[in-house]
Amino acid sequence: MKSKKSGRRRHLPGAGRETRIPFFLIGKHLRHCNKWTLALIIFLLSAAFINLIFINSLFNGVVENNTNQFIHTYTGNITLTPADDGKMFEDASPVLREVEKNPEVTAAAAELVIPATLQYGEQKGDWKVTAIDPEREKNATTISRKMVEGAYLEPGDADGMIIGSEVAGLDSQDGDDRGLRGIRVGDTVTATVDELPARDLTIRGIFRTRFNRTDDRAFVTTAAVDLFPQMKGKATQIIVRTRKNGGEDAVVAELKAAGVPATFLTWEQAAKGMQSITDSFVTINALLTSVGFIIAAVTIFIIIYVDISNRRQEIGILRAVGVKGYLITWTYVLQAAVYSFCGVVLGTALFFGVIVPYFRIHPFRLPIGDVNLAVVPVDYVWRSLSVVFVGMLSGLIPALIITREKILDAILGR
Amino acid sequence: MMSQNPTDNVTPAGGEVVLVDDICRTYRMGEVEVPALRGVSISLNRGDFLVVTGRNGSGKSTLLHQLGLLDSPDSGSIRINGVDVTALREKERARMRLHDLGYIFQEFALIAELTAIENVMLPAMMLERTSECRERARELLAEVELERQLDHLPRQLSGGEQQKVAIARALINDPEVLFADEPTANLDTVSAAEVLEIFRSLNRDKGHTIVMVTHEMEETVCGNRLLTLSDGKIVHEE
Repeated sequence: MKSKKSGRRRHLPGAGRETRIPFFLIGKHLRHCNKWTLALIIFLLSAAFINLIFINSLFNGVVENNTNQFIHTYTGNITLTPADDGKMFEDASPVLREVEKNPEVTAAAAELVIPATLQYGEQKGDWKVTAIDPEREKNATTISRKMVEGAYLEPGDADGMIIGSEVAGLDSQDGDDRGLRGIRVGDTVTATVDELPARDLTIRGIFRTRFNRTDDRAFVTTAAVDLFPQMKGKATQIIVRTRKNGGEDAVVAELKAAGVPATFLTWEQAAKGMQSITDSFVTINALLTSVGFIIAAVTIFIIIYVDISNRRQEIGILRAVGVKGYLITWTYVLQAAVYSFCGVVLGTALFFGVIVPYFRIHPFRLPIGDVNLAVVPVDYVWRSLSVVFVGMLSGLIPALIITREKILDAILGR
Repeated sequence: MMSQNPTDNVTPAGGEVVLVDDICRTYRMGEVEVPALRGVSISLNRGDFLVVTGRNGSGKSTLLHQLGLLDSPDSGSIRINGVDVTALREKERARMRLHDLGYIFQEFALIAELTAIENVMLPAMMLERTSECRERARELLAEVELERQLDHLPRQLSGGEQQKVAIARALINDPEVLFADEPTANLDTVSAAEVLEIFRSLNRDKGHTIVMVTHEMEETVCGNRLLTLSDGKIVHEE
């Protein structure tokens, strides 16, 4: 022990050294604290974080699924209709060839949509029957991959028809008279179009996309309608798929510049009727996210506030031995940041390792389709930072309060 | 012109380390005011071992809290090394607690999550390299015969051992004055005797200035000065 008589030791200025104190104390705390308590705190923080991203991901999933279903099974990225307000492309082939020259276009298919009455036994109803080239349609939509019974249409099949699950009444409830209930592959339906002679068509397959608008459709090949001279080679619309969603406006501009004779409608324009639904989901998402934020913030605040308030005596001791107030404050702010960060990491692991895979296997069944959780990277980062920020704030407040009260009150718990 | 920090050591020539002048401290308990100190004045020279005694509620711990800069008097002044500490801001008081004062609590006041050596080295880490702090903490713990318990947490130590760690921590920054608030109150007889012997040795052999509060009459013989308080006033001094 250094003797007083040998003279007092001279201390070097500690400005740089003292900043070690928070890291030293946090390290020791994490090493020696009650591991169960620490695990519980981090688990609760992760639960708060998961709560924040789950609701958001669910609504993002709904919107994303809605968009994908719309593009993949209904309109494509761009829908072309006749330019001169006519009802039909008299000959769709040259338009298809021109469209396919664009490097951003991956597929294009002409469709002739005909309102028809379908009759199966005593049951009948009005649906839109669409005449397609099966080969082109396979590339333009995903319907060929959604067959639940039978097979997709073969090119040149002039007597076949595939119908959606809504048309087949597969999902109809008791008392619901919509759909040709009981119809199976191989059965015959009678199709009537306006004044044209009725035709018997054989059901080749039934598809289910889980997108109501698509499942309420029926398809035949162009060969079937070519039997009627007034319809041969005609199309009411051409659906176009592009390399990526978004950026359709640029492709439209290029097609217009190339002189493609059509009126162009991007999927967003075509989906205007659905925009209000999407907007509603976005609004609900925003509201629930706000509530989720408040709940998460209060949860995080209570957890960290209680933890740090319970260490009031420790803070008093640190002050009594001369540790500066700002270092003590930083110790608990950084500790709260570590807690929160660990909560985010655990929450991320649970969310992406357990919750997302679970809902991928067991998706939410909604009328617009099977909905999975969809995480938007920006939302994830923003919520992660929010949790850490709220955590730090929750550490700052009690630390500031305790470092400003009387040392003896803190130490003696008065 | 060189400026002088208000807490820099400027010990008067006479070796007077602490000068307390007519301090008063009143606590408020609801509507009731309880005077804990009523005009206490003392002077402490370097190398003094002052024992402060008195009954419970006499004001002895309150006096020590004022001297240790854990509390502030309502009136009067306290000068440590010539500096009027009652006029200092909390930042400067913290600096003085770190550099010039060592405080030993009745309840040990160790950080539960730090080992013995970490508790001791913590105040020094504000000033020195970690390796130097650790080495000096090891020396101090060896001095109080705890070299085998360096890595023990407080809960793994007996009361006497915890108090020895607290003494080593108080000494780590080589303070001007050591304050001990009933350091043996929570110890068994053997541990209490060991702790008192450490204080005697620190004063006799190392020249440390010590102020110790106790209500055990047999401990009053440890020091070379004795102060008896009653109802917040000095009633006996020798």
